[in-house]
Amino acid sequence: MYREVPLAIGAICGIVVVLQYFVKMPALDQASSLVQNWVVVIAAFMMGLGAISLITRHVREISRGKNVVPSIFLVASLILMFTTGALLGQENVVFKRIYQYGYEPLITAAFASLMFHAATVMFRAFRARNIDSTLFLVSAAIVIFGRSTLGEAVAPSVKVLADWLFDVPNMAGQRGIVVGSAIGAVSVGLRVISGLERAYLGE
Amino acid sequence: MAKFIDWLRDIDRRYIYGLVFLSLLLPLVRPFGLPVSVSKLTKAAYDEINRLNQGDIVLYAMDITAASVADDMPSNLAYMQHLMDKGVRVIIVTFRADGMKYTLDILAKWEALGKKYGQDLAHLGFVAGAESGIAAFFSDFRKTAPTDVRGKQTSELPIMKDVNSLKDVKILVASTAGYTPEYVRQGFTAYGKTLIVCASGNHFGTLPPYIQAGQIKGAIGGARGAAEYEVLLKKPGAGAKLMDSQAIGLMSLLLVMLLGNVVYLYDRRRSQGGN
Repeated sequence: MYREVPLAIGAICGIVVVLQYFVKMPALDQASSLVQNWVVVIAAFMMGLGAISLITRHVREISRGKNVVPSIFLVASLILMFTTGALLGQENVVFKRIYQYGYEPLITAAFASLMFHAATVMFRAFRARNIDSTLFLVSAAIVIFGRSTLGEAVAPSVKVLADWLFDVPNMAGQRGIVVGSAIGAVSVGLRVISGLERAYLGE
Repeated sequence: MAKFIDWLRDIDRRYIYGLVFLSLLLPLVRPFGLPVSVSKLTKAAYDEINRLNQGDIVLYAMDITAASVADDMPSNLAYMQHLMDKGVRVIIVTFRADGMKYTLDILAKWEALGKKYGQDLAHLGFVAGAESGIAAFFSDFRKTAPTDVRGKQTSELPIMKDVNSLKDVKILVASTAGYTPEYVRQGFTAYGKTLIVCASGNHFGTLPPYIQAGQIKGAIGGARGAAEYEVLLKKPGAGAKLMDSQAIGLMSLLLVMLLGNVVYLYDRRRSQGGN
């Protein structure tokens, strides 16, 4: 029972949602909508659970005297953001200022620093070692140059080549990835519905 | 030459950082106004919005992340500018928790310009659950988001009269922040709804399969796409301001790549016994 009930729930939910796409039946539409709304509630619940789990873990770290400062900072930040957002509302100026002057500069700085890391990687690793890497290098250079405003102004013909690289070889590669991952998703879905996939039960 | 190559081989990475930093900063301080050409994808997105009539209702799934806000914000502002200029009514929703603040900023901007909340635009808040959340919301707005971002009943908002699912809106605009296939599957495939997107520049390269298949009708990518859209709107904005900086920054990357290969080819030639 401990295993069969969750497997049955997973199979029924999967079948209802998949069937709804292929069979037009109001009862099925309603059932599918209900299941999808449960997911929204569960996902929201999981966020709270995640926050509790994070706090518990870091409080334990603090009590053991390990990584005390980062853990105190993390727990305090989490509680501060949660309480100001929950008590004052998301449009409140205090909540917005904490986000704007606390979280936003940190995360945007982390993202912006990628440009600098990309530059050093391009210097040390983007090397024309063989035909494959040379093709990659030349394609990257054409796309970077051709699709920038400066490249367009200086050499408009490079833009035509850059657009072709973007629209043809890039699309062919992307399509392969999309189709491959879709087939993978379908097979995982079928395994869940048929009860073969049990990783979500912790097995 | 050999001395220069030796210096370059062991160059302190801070010189590279400095080059990139200055090439990004100087054009911001002193822009030189490079022309921006408009791609057919940007024009297609513009045409889709231009075809809308005053009073039409659009669902705008506005997923902006704090990490890529500098790239995402100009394109969202450009779309919103066009929609608001056309008198289109916009229902905003977000499926990204960390980008909520930016969607509220956009809402506040147009409210300050005289658009009426609840009538011209509304914000139904954050919906959790990623693709399942998107699917649930598209099938029933009111059930999935019973209250709006200000705690009002969604069903009582004037803009929501006769609107309760994706079927009831004219088109779907999505600022995807990585969720593009989800919007294609749940918006275009499930409802046949016209979908136009704006994606971060680093994510834009993943869109061509959906565009070529006709699942995405128009798209703008990052600040560059925003600058193109601003050209069409004849209202230079946040995207246009970044273009010179982006162009020179990219050229600095090309220069760094070229120098790296000069060192590599010189060393290889020397190791093979050349001079």
